[in-house]
Amino acid sequence: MSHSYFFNRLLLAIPTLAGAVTITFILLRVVPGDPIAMMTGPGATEADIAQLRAHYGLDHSIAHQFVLYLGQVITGDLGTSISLRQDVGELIIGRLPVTVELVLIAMLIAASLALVLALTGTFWRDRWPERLVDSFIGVVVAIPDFLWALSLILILGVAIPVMPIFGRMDLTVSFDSWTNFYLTESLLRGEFEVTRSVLHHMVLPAVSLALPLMAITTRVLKSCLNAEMNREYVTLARTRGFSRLKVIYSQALRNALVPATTLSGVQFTFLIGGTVLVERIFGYPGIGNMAIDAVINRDLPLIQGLVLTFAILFILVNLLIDLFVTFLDPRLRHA
Amino acid sequence: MPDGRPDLPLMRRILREPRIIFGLCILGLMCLAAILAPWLSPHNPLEQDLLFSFLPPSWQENGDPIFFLGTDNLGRDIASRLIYGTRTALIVAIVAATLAALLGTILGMIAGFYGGKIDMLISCAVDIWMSFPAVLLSIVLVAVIGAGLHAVIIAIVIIDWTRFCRVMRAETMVQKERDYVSSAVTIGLSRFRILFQEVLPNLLPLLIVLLTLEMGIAIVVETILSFVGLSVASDTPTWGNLIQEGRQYIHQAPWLLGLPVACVVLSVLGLNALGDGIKEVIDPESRQ
Amino acid sequence: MTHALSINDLHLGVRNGSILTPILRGINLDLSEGEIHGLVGESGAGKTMLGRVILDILPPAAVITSGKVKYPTGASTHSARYTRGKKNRGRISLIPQDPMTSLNPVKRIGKQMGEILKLVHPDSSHRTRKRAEQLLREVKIKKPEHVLQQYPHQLSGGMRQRVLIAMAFSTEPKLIVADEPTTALDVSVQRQVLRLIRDLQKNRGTTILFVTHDLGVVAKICDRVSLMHSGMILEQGDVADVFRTPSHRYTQSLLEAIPRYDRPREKLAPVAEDLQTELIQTAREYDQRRQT
Repeated sequence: MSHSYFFNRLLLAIPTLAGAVTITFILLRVVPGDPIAMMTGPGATEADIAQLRAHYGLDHSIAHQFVLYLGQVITGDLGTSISLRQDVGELIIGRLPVTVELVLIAMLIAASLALVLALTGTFWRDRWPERLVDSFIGVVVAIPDFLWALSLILILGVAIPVMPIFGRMDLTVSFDSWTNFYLTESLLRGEFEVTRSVLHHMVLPAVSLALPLMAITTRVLKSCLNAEMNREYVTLARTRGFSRLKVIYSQALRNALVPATTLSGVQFTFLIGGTVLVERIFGYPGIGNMAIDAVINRDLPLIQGLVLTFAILFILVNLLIDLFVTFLDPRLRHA
Repeated sequence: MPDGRPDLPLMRRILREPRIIFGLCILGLMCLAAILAPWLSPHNPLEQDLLFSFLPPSWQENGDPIFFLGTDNLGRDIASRLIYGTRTALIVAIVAATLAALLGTILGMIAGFYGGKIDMLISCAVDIWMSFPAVLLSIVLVAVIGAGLHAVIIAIVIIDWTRFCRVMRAETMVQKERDYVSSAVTIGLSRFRILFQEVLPNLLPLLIVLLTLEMGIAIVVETILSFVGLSVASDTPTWGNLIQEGRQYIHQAPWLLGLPVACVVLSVLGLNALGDGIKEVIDPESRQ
Repeated sequence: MTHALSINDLHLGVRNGSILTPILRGINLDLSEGEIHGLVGESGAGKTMLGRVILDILPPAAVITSGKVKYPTGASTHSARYTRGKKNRGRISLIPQDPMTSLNPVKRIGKQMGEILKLVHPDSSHRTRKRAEQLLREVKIKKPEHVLQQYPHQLSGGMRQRVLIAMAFSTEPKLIVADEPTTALDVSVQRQVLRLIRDLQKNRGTTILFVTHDLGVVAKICDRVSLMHSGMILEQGDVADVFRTPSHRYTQSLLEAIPRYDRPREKLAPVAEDLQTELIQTAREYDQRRQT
């Protein structure tokens, strides 16, 4: 039944998480260059350095450090950031809502555009609208989100300056947020000026993230729809006199969504990785932007915390996709 | 679109495919720029002249024809910097893509041909690998290895061998079932010889397609790492460094961002078109 | 007697590039109201394509080169592309061959039946539901209110075919094309399904074009029969007459090929290969004559 199915999926996530923890730990302990030396600067004494070492637990053996680290992770203690001198858990919780809202809006844009384009291409099969959709997709799919972000800045930020290209909202707007989910919170609290500003700033980063994903999803969905249109139940619906639009929309679409979601699900997880650069380019204060700073500053505890967070996001998105597929396909629910 | 007539000889079909022509032109231009950089560049790409900083391209107002594509904040010539940037891009594209292809293909062929435990091990590694966000992994990797061109190349190889491995494994498994393999077995050829003398030539077309696409990806990854400041030293002219600098002066001098972005986009589009074109010529039935 | 459908000298081909391959070669077929007409032929004879012409679900590559299909509502197909349109909505329906793939897998039975019922006759959800239950009861499904709540994969093949038959009759069509409706079913279920179709047909006076390759089935339920090969109708007439005195050699050889329980030891006579070649040859000559 479905409950045990999800329980199994959660169990499967454990090795992935453990792998993520282990690999980041190993990778980062072989970093050449001493983070403590970077922190203290030339004026520090041996004693100062030793004290800091002990403070961050760097004076133990590698194996001992790993056990300590695992214990901390399990109890939810991610340590203290070396560069920002704050609790890693708090830092991440503070920035996570920014990225989560961005990712969800980007996925929404990608999914709805893909739906419209795939339906258009299927409805006007073998005619000019389909060819138009195909060539548009062909160009979009070749360019990664990083380049889309820069191109969109140039086109809609500079050449025709209609979109803001930096930050999360206008500096003139102030918003004292409790949760850092600006979009959701401002909507719930009725401060629509804030909502408008946040959305306005979100357009370019979200669209850059969405475009490549949209292109791949359109391709997959369109080929699944075409396959579905040749099935017998669709032919039968045609004999009954349903209009072509109705046949596609209310018969074939839901069936095509099942394989299409499964196939393009991985791409949705790629979008999370994309936030790292896109947030950097747009000066967006999310965990992606934070990750680059953490790497540049060799901030080990923060990097580990962030990689773990990304791994958890991956797993959550995968679970959401599975949930959606089981919702669509009754055969999976009763399996 | 040409109708992919299978009766034409391969060369004729290649020359009839516009995407291949477009891709080859872009690739040819890049090679020319990279090899002839010292002769093509009008200026020394590192030479600063603060008197001539932020000059726009010559066709714009205040432009100076001596600096055809304008200058940056330190008065360095953009055209020369772009031309020299092609070198880095092309080196990374060729070396990293080839090495990733080599590693991925060998592992993929072994997994697909021998099956069993080896296959399980390799496939499992690929799955775990692909579950990490590639961008983050590459940044972490370069941070670990240390900045520099070699680090960028190693990072790309370590991350992207999986692309080749997956496809080559699947294709080897298909080829393995073909008659020519079983007849080679009956003749008594060793498995190793069958794999590299009989199976490999049949994988080559697909490999070329993947390699072309990977070159585009490698160029983007190098740009990304330069942009983040983890590739070669920041005064070296690479497209990514140019983009990074251009992003800072976006309102004063948008051409500083626009020109390198255009270079990257064009080369990526070109390599993609080349890969797609080859795929179609090799296998016309792959079109839906 | 009025005709439920009449087809006049219908020619149809499938276009592939610049080549037009003939599929139907001068079909003449009149269906009288209330009859079950058997359409018999082996695979490739063109009987499926003929069914698709009648249902107006031709694939895009198929072209009607000449001839006419006249429907009871007066709409007719000429040599060009033609859509049956709303006028005929629900007047002609199909009982498909494979019940396993002919129901939408992600929708409950009740929802699927409701969509069809509402398409022809918009009504309240409650009344539509009652009507669907009634229809399921007519196809001898026990606990119809329960089945309406189920998804296709929860039903057996025989049950699904009953549901599909209920759907086909639900719009009170004048004409039903039954495309080998029993081929995919178990032998024991086949007989029940055949009886079901015949009973429903007798009660409502529906005309049925029964496409099959099984002369045994034809003998059981059809009034008249047409035999097809290579896109041509070779023989047409009352079932009793055709079976007693077949005029075409192809029909004779088909009848000889039926295993008879009263003559068990007699050797089966397959349709001879030279006859097959001869028929294909005839078709080719026909095409050449038409071209010149």
